[in-house]
Amino acid sequence: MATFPTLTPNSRSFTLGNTPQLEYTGPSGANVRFLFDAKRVGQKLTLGFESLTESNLYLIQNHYVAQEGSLLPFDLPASVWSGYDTVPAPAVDYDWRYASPPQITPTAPGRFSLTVELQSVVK
Amino acid sequence: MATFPAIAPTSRVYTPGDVPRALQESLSGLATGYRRGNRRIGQTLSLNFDYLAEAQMVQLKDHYINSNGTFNIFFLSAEIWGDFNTPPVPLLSDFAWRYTSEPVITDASYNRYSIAIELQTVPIDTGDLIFDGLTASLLPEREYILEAGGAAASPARDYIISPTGAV
Repeated sequence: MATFPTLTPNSRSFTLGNTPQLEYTGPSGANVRFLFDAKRVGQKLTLGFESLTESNLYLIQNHYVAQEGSLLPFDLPASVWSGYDTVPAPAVDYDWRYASPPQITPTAPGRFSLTVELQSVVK
Repeated sequence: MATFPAIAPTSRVYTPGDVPRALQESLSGLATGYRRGNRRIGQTLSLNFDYLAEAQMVQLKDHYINSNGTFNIFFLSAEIWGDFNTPPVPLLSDFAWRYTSEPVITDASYNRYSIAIELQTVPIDTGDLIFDGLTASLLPEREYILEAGGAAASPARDYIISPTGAV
């Protein structure tokens, strides 16, 4: 399985996702919930890369193309979680795939900023 | 079931909710309301925790994970209400809380994290709790007993409120 390029993001936002469940609510507001599994779905990771060189930009762009856009799951390298002592979404439980196409913005001659949105895939 | 971590939030927004009701409005504008229950629903609490150390961030993250996301209910700790003399929702009452949505963890600076959390109340009732437990039987198991009276010691309960003579 492919691994995301070993680059450290400049900004990072992680949404924890939720366990798969169904909820039925009565007119009084009372509700009943059914839990289907303990692994979370819908975890999102937004990564911002600032002032990348063109070669680093192509590392990510080529990875996106190789993963056939949002189709194929992949692993994340430790550099993406830089600063964490404990990774909040362990690789043993979750892979990742692109949630949307990366957004590339030129910021200076030969420098680019890029935003990547990923979502987790339960293993 | 674990009480929410005792970490004081940086900001807090509380919405008192509303009673469940249906409103029927005629063409003339006259309206008739029907109340569907006597417990307020939709009380929400938005909490922001800024510049947390990783250990505190992990406490909040693990509480969410151990609550099975938005599934399980829990009570809040006193730190959440900070400078309230009387919290608008008592810490141990017939309202519990659960997550409304997924917490969002954002890197604030190196090794510091900000978390935004949304909670909503759940009016708990006999499925989860016994009011005036007195000599309540062993089964079905409840996690909460209010006014436990002489309720049996087993099965063990997570919370016994006003235990009176409970063994």
